[in-house]
Amino acid sequence: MIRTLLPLAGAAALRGRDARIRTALVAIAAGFAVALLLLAVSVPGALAARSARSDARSPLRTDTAAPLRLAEIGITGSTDDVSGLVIAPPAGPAPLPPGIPSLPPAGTMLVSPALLADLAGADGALLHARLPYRIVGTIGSAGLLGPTEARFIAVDPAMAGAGTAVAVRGFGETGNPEPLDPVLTLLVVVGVLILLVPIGIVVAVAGRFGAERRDRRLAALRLLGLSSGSVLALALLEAAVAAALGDLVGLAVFAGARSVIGSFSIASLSVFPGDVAPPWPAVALVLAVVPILLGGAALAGLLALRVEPLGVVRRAARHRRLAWRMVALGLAAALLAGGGVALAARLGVGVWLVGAGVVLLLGAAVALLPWITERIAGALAIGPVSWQVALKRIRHDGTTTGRVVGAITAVVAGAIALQLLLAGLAGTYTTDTGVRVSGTLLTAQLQGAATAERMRTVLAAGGATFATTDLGVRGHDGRFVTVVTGDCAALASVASVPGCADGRVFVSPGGSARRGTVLDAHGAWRVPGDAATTTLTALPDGDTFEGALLVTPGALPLARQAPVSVSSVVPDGSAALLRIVLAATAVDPTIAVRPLAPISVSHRFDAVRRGLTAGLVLVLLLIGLVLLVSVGEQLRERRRALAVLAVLGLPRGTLARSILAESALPVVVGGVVAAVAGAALGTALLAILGRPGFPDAAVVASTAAVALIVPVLVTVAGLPAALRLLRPEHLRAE
Amino acid sequence: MSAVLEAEGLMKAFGPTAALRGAALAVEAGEIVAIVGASGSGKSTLLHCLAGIVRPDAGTVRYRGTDVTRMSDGDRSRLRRTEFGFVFQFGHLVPELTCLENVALPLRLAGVRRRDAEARARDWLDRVQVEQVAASLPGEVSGGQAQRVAVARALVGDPSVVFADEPTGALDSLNGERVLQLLTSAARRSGAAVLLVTHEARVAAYSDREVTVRDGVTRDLRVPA
Repeated sequence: MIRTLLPLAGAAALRGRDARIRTALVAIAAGFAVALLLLAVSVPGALAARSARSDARSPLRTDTAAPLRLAEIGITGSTDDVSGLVIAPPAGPAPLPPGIPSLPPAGTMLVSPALLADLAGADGALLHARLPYRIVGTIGSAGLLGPTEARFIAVDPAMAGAGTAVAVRGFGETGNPEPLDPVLTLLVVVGVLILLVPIGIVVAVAGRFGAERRDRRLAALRLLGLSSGSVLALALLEAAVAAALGDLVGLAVFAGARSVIGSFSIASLSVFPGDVAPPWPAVALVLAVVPILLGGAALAGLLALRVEPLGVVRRAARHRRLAWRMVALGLAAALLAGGGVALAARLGVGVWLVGAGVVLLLGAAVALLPWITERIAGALAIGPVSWQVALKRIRHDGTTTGRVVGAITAVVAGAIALQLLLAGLAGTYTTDTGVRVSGTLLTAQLQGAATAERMRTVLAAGGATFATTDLGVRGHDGRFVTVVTGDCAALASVASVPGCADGRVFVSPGGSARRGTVLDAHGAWRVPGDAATTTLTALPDGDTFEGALLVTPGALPLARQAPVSVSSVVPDGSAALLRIVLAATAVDPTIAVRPLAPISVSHRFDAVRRGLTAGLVLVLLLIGLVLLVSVGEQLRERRRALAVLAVLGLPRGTLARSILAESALPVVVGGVVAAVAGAALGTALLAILGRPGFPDAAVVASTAAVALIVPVLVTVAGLPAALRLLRPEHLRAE
Repeated sequence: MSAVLEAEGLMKAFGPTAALRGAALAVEAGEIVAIVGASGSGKSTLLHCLAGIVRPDAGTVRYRGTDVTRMSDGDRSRLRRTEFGFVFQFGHLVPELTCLENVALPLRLAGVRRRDAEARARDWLDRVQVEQVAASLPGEVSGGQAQRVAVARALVGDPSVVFADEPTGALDSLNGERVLQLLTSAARRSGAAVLLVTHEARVAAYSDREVTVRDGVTRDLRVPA
């Protein structure tokens, strides 16, 4: 029998324009879901590959004699963030960083393709001024984190004595990455599940495209003697054909996305296509998910029907029951509570109990939506014709739009829960950097007073505030003492220095340097007994050195060979930034330039947050696409009905209002259900993580509003097509 | 001559509405019987009960002596697949299959190899004079052509009984006449009995005898030989 059914399933999917369009719609919806899932399962591998690339090129520092001396350089404020190595010419054989066959000659550099493009671009001349080396080649992909990374490797004889240069014995760290902490693990699991639930719903919705036509086809086959079991088998085969096509589309979209992914960078992050390689078991799982979902949707649809030779018969009057929906909600609450208890007891199963609770809660919320919509539609059965028609259709079958709104409800509820969770956890993963000024920090590690003085002159001429720290002063216990050296204006920028004059010294309490203490400042030096006490507000980079000394040049001139750090801040929006940086680069090509931020966010938390936010956006786009497709499918199914209405003289305005109302009611109800479910879920998850509190109404409302714009826009976009179908001639169309 | 299909005491109600109230009928092999009656009289319900599509509330339907009403769904499906043919008002063709594949479908469902099934189907399309639409989908042919394809599909499996429910109801008179001529003449050549539900007198004229259904009760009007 399978040999007979298979061609039938193939014909149902591919024969005729209508069948092909319907199959294409299902395949597109399922395919994009597959592509999204494949990208999602590729992320850990891509991150691991990126981390491995970073490890492989990390210089291995050493305190002993080493074959290489180099400085790691970061440049911001240009087209892209630029990073690189400036290496002193090695005396003999030296280890090579990955991605290059040999070190370039002195005074030259190798650059990444992205940096090469930047240097040839509009800001190239300015950038070149910061990298005054001749380009002699490019760095291979093995030496880059991503294809759009701007990186260079230069060889400069000046590095031999540069203060920032460090001795390096080779490249390639082999550090073991720390595992995610339990809170971030829970966040990742919950976040991924929240993204997967709507994807699952969307694929199931796509499986219902063309269901009415399929039912008629199956009835015709029953008339010819196909048994009910064979009908079920045929429906599953048809779903399998659609799923196979969906998988193929998904693989093609994924392959396409993978091939162009190297051309894009988000927040200066890019990945090589080769690093986007989902593990085969995950690929197999993803490819199996679509047939299971489509087959499940077909099975669920058929279980509610009896396919008879004369047509399909519903097994029972459609009366949505509240009881099992409430049982699901109760079970979800129990799973969340149980998960919370297990997590508190540090049991690993807690994460999965919470995950199951999240899935069940979102599923129950989606299941509640048609029940509530139907009740509201029943209660609002008064009003103009357009409204009445819309309500009738909603009560009749819930409409395809209503089903897709279910997926949106899931994603909005999930998004709200995630936003609440992220907001609630942000405090744990962010730290105050102490930075109270906004601008760009320039830090040069220099050797000797003369160089430091030149740098200070350059910076002062550019209008930047600055501070100089002598890095070579030790206390009696041998530990370094922070000595900030500068004229009174410079010292005033980092501390309160009343009565400052050249020759004065100020002591901030808390350190080993006190009045009368003898320090080794490139020769013995006693802290004057009349040194005033001061409180160091903060260095420009936010550091507060307890027990630092603030000295004017008259009290302790910088030693000739002292290692010195010169820090300077260029305020935000200063047009002089590039000029100052260029001038400073002439003194020290290794000067570090970085923007100051008052808050530092945990790198891992930030990565999880960005990943989940990007996932939410992609899922919303997927739902928008499926909604658009479903609107088209719905219009095709209603073509004859619309033509009949046209024959009867239905005004176009009435139809337009009816279609809008048909979408608007599920959307509004979906928004409310999503807001309540999302707020409840977010609050529950925060309570599980020991951070109880009330949900932020603004977060809930804004997330719901933004996400629900999608169905409204799609419905409005589909209106012209609906109005075009309101023509009597379509009555003949088959 | 013994009856190939006979029914006694058929009762069928849809909710509070009684469609059949003790209907009875016997059809002999190769006989063409018209079931006539006004709209809502119960003639289509009678046809559906006789074909094993609808199970009556009471009464028996015997096909070659076997009670169809007691058969399982699978057995009734097999009966429709192997012994019966159907022509309904709107053809009930599978829209995704070509006309040739539609005609070959009963044979394929009965396990006949594709090549053989399509050869026989092509022969039947030729007999009902629509061989030119073999490769077309049902949506691409006229109503009359689609109905002739349905006739070919009903007869391709050499059924013992063909059930035709208002087979010309959606056609103009000229196309209707041609379909009826093809159906009845082809059935006579193959020896199949035909049960023809209609409310049109001109359609009934193609039958050997008429059975009238009124308020769910049958009245047999034998046509004198």
